Amino acid sequence: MPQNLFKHQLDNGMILIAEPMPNLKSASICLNVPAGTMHEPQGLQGLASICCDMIQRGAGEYDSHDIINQLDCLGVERDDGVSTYHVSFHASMIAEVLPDVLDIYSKIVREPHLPDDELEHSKAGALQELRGLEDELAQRCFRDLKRIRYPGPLGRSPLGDFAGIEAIDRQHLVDYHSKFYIPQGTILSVAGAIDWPELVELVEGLFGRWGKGVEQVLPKPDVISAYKHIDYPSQQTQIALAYDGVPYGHADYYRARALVGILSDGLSSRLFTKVREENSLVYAVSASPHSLYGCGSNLCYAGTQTQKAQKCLDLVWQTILSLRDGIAQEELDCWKARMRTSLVMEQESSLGRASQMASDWFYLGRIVPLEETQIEIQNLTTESLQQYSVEHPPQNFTVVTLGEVQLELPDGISASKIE
Amino acid sequence: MEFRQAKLSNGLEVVAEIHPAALTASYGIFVNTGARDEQHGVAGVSHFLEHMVFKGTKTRSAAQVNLEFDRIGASANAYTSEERTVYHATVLPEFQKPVMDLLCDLMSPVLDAEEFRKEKDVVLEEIAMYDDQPPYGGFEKAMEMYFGSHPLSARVLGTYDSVSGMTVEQMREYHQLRYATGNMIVCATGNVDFDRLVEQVQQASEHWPVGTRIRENFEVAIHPTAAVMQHPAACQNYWIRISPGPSRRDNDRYAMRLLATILGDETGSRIFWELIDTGLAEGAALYCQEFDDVGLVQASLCAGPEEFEAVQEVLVNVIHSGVTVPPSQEELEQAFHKIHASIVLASERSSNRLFTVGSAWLSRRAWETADEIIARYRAVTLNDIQRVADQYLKQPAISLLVCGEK
Repeated sequence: MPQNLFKHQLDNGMILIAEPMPNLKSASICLNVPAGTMHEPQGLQGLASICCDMIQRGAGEYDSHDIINQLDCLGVERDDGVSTYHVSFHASMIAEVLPDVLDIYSKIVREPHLPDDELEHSKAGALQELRGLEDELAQRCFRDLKRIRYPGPLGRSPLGDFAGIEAIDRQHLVDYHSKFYIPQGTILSVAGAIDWPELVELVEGLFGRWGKGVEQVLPKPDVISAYKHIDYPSQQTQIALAYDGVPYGHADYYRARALVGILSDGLSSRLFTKVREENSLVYAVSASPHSLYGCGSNLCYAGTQTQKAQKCLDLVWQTILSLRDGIAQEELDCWKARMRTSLVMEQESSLGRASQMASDWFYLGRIVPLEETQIEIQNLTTESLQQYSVEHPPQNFTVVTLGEVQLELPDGISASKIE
Repeated sequence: MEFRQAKLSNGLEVVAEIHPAALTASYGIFVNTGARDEQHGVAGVSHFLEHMVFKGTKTRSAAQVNLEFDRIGASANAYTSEERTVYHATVLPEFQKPVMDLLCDLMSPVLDAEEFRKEKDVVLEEIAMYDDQPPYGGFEKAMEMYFGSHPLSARVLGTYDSVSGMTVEQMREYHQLRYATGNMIVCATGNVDFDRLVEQVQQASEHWPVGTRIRENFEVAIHPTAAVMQHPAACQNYWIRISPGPSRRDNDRYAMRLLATILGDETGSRIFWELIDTGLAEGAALYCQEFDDVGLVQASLCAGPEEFEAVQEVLVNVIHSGVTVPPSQEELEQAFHKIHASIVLASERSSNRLFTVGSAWLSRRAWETADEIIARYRAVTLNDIQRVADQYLKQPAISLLVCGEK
């Protein structure tokens, strides 16, 4: 299906990208503002999330109740999130209300009140979430894995830490907002039942006078190889493991992505077959690629009862290693078939397309047509995948386990133990 | 969009909501069986059987089943609830025949003893995973307290002991009894070739057990109680409250869902403003859970152990405010717009519509378009809201607190 993809850059540097999807009734936006956790001042971990919450507690002519009531009455399904680089606002709606919704979001990012009398509520909510994470065992492992693997600002959790949240005051919010809620680096991605010329005019009107700030440089991550065990009285041991991959946009991305897919995508994937189907060691096992700017990792997860945990880790490792011994044509064909379905399903979802385009722009500086992705995938061969897996053996491991017993890392995984 | 239905000579019904312009098609076999249909001593057999259905048929090994789903790029899965076991897959329309060939074949699993032994360990891992994660286990305990000896007290996963002690013969007997043509439907949504679908299912289901299976229904006798369950490592406290609500077949369900949205939706509701916006709780919600013949109004709360009782009291007061401070027209409008948008947005994907269309047909032999469902919500008045508030929010409740030692 031919795609119409559009891009417009405002004079202040903000990027607007869009794909009209005339067969849908909905429209979705993904608004990425470059105010992610990497910018938090030392000692104020949690500031990016508190700021994201506080800007929605009153902006422009709206107070806190108005914003939520208006968005609810417009029928907007929405979410916000903080990542390493961005604060992101996702919203899906019936397309007719898009102008009203964009108006509200422009006020939220440009003209927040940051009401002092609501800061303690916002901080109390953040502390609740931080404590709640202690009960989410798999998420807790991956929070720690990221912190260890990417030391410094790039490894921060959006939930912050207790001391950081306690220390935040209103002036911190004012400074953070003025420095990082800026048009340069902001990407507004829109997909669905939209008219491009009308959208450009609308966005120019809402964001055109947004004053410039100082664009931030994205640092290249350092990667630390280490093993941490968390003693915890659970039935299952949680295993989180990371090793070097390639980031989205890298020349080898699809070769590396296919290998992770052969490991983990689908019912016949190697991890599912070996670890669950043949050996009954787990209910959940998976691998997925993770991208930072200029640095990629492959993340693996398995959860298994304590007495089986060592065997499980050993088998996960052997299964990862097995990629270098060859890729069957059938495995690659299955992965290609799954990707073809998922690309078609993406065309049924305005939110899926808006999010993917925003990611394309951040990592590549352009929107990738679905046909180009499809061709990249179709051109992969088993030989090229095997060559890649031999030339790039898994290395630089970071491992976090949580459970009653610390595990021995298998031969081939070298990582110093840390407390 | 077109709705079509057919009843095969063996009693099996096939229904489809057809969108010729859709890019994908979704297919499901909905079996009218779940935890509430299990006899004593086989708790968890419906869910365990759902796993075993993928573990081989007369013509395919478990590995072949997995491989064939992947060859056609299918997004396939299954789930089990108290009342349903559903096998489903979304594919490109060109793969209708192979995906239905697979789904139909799965309905006649061999239930091999060795595969049964291996898969038991996977199910026990699943039980252990949820046991580690508060407040899972709490919900099941609360349902046991609420339903007492009623079959809906059954745990979908069963328990470690019930699954450990289950035999493959018990599972075979359950499968033979429950997977009968009058107790299941085939449903499809999206870009579907209905005539070929009916033709294919007719052939594939020729040897399936026929007949209908009666689900025994009982009155629910509620004994309001409050209990505490220790989860030693839990950092947060979790509280679950259950009281009666309308069933899936009760027309008051639209009004009750709107009332639950007004009081307890995750944003913009009374509970949101009192507990989430203020940071008193990490999570708090009020929602409906519906079964074919009974319904529940459930409230859940997650917050730090300090001052938890005071936070609980706020939540209870908000629930009662549905009666004492009648919802306004503005609140009703806001709730309607949220539900309206969520229906419209979800209906854009055939994979979402599959569950709505299949569940409605299995439960009520009814098909409603998204617009017709929206119209039912639109027709709800403030009087209806007040009536269901009076009827349901004053009812006795059971409650369970899950807390740690810290």
